Amino acid sequence: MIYSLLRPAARTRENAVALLIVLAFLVLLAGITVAYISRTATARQVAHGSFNHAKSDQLARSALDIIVADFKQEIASAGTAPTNANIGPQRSPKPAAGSTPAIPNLIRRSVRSDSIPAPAVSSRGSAVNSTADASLDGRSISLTRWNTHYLVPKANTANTSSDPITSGFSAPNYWAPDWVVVTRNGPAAFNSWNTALSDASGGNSTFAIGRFAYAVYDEGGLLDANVVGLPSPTPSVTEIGRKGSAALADLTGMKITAGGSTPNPTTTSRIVAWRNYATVQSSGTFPALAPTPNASNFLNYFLDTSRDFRSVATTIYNNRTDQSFTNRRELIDLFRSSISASVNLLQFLGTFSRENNAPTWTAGTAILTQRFAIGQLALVIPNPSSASVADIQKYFGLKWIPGIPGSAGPPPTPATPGHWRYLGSTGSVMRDRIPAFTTTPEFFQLLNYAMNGTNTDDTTHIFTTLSIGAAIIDQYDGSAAADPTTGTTTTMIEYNGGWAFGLENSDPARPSPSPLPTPSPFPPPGGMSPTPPPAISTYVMLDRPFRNVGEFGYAFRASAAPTPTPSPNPKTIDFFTATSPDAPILDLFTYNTSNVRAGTVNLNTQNPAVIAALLKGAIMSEVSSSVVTHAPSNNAAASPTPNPNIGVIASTTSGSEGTLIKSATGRQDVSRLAAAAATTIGSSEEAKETVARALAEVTQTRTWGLLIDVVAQSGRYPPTASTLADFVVEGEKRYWLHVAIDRFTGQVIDQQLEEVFD
Amino acid sequence: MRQSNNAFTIVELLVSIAVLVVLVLLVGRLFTSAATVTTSGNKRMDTDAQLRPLFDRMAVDFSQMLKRSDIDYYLKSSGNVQAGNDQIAFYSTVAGYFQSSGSQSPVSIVSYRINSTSGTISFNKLERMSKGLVWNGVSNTETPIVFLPFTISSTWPTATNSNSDPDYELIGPYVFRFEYYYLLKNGNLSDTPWDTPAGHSSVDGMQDVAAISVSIAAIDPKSRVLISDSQLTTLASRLNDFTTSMKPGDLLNQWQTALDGTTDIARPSVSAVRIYERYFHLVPKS
Repeated sequence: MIYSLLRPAARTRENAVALLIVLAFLVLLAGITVAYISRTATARQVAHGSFNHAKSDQLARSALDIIVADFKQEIASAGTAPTNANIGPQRSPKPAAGSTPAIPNLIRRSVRSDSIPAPAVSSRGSAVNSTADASLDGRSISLTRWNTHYLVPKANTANTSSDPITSGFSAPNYWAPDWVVVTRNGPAAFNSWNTALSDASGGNSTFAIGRFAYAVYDEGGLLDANVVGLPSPTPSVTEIGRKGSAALADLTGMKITAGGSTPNPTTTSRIVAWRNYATVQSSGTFPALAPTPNASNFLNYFLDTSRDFRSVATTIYNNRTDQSFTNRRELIDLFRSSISASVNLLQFLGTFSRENNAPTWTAGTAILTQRFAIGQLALVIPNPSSASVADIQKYFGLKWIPGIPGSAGPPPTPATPGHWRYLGSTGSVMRDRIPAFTTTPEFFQLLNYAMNGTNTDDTTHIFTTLSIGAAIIDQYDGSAAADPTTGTTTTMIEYNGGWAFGLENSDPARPSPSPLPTPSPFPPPGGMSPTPPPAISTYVMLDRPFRNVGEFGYAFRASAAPTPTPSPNPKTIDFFTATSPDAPILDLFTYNTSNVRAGTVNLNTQNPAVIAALLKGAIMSEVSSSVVTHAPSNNAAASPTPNPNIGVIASTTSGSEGTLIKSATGRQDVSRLAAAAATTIGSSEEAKETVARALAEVTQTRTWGLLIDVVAQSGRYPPTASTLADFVVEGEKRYWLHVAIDRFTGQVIDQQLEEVFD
Repeated sequence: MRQSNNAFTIVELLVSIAVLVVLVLLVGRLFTSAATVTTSGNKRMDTDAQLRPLFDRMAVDFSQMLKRSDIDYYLKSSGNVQAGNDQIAFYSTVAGYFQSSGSQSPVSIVSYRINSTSGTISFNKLERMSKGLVWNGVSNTETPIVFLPFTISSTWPTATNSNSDPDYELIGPYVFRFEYYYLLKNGNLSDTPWDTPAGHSSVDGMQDVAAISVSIAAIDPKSRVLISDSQLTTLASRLNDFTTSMKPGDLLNQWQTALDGTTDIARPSVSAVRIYERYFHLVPKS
């Protein structure tokens, strides 16, 4: 009504004003609304990004759980009594018998139509490849990126990029993992496109929520970078040659490229000086660090029998401590730093190794949870102190009986040497048998168990077992370890039924026929009874503590009761023939006493360079101190043509079980592998047993050391998707999981999750 | 001359004005409500936006925390009770600020704290230090990661105290209360990072810790200007420390109760305080 009363001109102005006011309000409201919506949209996008990050993280961790569970399932399916066919994880692709895999470290990867042998669980890979099949938004993972851990040999060994080889695999996927599609129902394999993957409706359990791809590498078959490496100047030839620790592996024995190049020892020494800074009292500045010329610090540290190498020493020097490669990224970063180590070496080095230091060989009803510590042999010294009497009986079943001086009479009485009496680990009655045991045998029970495969009462082998044990003791103790009454250095053990003797080449209680005949210190008519067995001129005496169980092979092996009659060529414990009955000894004794330790290598490693490093520098002859050089160590590891089936690696080919070519189930197989090395190191028994001395202490088979490389992508298939590659990636996460799984129990001993930022 | 008779009666005008007033009031109320909602939403978004990257940063730091038995951690525990705001320091393989001319290693020392030094620009704000460390042996003056027996407090004291350090960054400018505790693998919540009933008495590479729970109180920027530093300090002091006897959710409930019961500080400021809690699950130690 008011409006109609206004003049036309006024009405027009008022219309315009009203329109302007309304428009202004609208603009204001629209502005506020747009700003608010924009703000919330931005916040939502940021939140969504954060959500996708968390989602891909959850996906990656779930993927790792699934993969580890698959390995545990594989163990459960195979049973806890491993055979050669299933002691290790099944490999895919499966290498041909007697061959070396194209990628030695690769155990398996997610792959379509997975033909991995039972009892392994299929990877559930779908027909879409992480490298060759780009996603809808153009994302793929190059082989170079898959190899940022450098565990696959490099294609171009002259630069530092992670470009891997592709030989042995077909284009365009090569060895790149296929994607495992994760649906609402979990991971599932798809060989072709399924429209349900993109159907987000509520009841569809096939709707894809993400995908992951993975590869698993044998990190347990690598040398642990936290342990290996020799300083320069190096310890003496004999110190390195006696081995006993993976730290004494000689990396210069490794062929780290196809052309045969070897690591630079100066760079290795610098790394040792960086890593064991306080222990080896390093000088200089990074990267030109140098250990102290006195190598004893290095040796004392790595030959410490109680050190498990899972943590660094507490030693302080220069207000600094030792270092440790805390993860693989740090190892790679150090190699690529100004220290300039060859990245070609990285394929042979790991940062995470664990071993449950327990035997794998078993017989009868025995249940052994730990190995016998070789160092306990130091207890068995004639006329022991009262403080060690109880331990000697506990660990050896022996009691010392002091000697009795003889007299010329009349009537004449012979001198009785101080000797040991075999009572078993409990009781005070002299035994006529090796007693039965179940869980914690003493030394002789364990020897008898190893050589004769029985843990029941054994009257048959008591003489040979006690004799061999005595010979081992004589090899271990020094020449000063003598009976104070008669001076005899030979270990004599009295049992209910006779005497068993060790063997010493030098025994002052024994008349020496040569080179200068000397009379018996106990002449008739009294004499001495019993007397030490005759010496053998060719018998090698160590007269020092053992560095590894392989050195038991120097001990004389008595064969029959009652009187030992050594031949000119003494038979010693056999660690060099494929079917040696003595071989289980290698698995039942240990130099290092840690229950779980780092630094040991899986005996079934497919890396010849790793075995070569462990062999190089090992003493072939205790008398001449000659050692294994570069070529023999490599030939023993993997013999070149024309003998492709000779060598340690070829003889442990997984899944190709034959008489001689099969995975090692335990350290007892080292004897078979020594046989496989044939005469590549030497033709004598001592030379052949170099393989046992070099490998037995530093290898294992019972723990799977895996590096699981997983890339997980959260995202979805849009409604327009028509192939398995049409995935829209919303978030991505990559992890390296280092995990150690006990093959016998299926338990995860230890693990380390390493987040990867490419 | 025709006389106009189109004028309004007073009644009509009064009714019109009354209707207009009602309409204006209604629209005004509507606008006020809308403004309140958007302001509140904006404040929440401001706080959320501030906390999101902070929690993401913490997630990365914690996930890359070195978990080893041979390195030191600076953590609250029965032997290191931290009243009020907490402080945490540990080694992590995240990239850190690196001011050295030497070679940077992939390891950093990471620390979180509420700055408690009044008068500084970061007072009552959450700071994060990520100090990049050199490789071992780079020089005699720059310290690399050191293992036990060296402790973090003896090697990098500023990571464990309130002193200034140029490597601290302001990561939570409106976070004024920082508290953390542990979810142990035995399922219990604890203010000590080890399983005492299991006979453990040291952190040992976080072997017993399944997750670290971080509780934070933050205020949005607009509300922050309404409250003084001393009032914020007072407010923070009223937010209890975690104790082992608490059950899940107890801490935040107590904080909310304390905030609701605060009457000596401007209500709009107190009601703008938001509290958050997040669990950071740790992977097993190596």
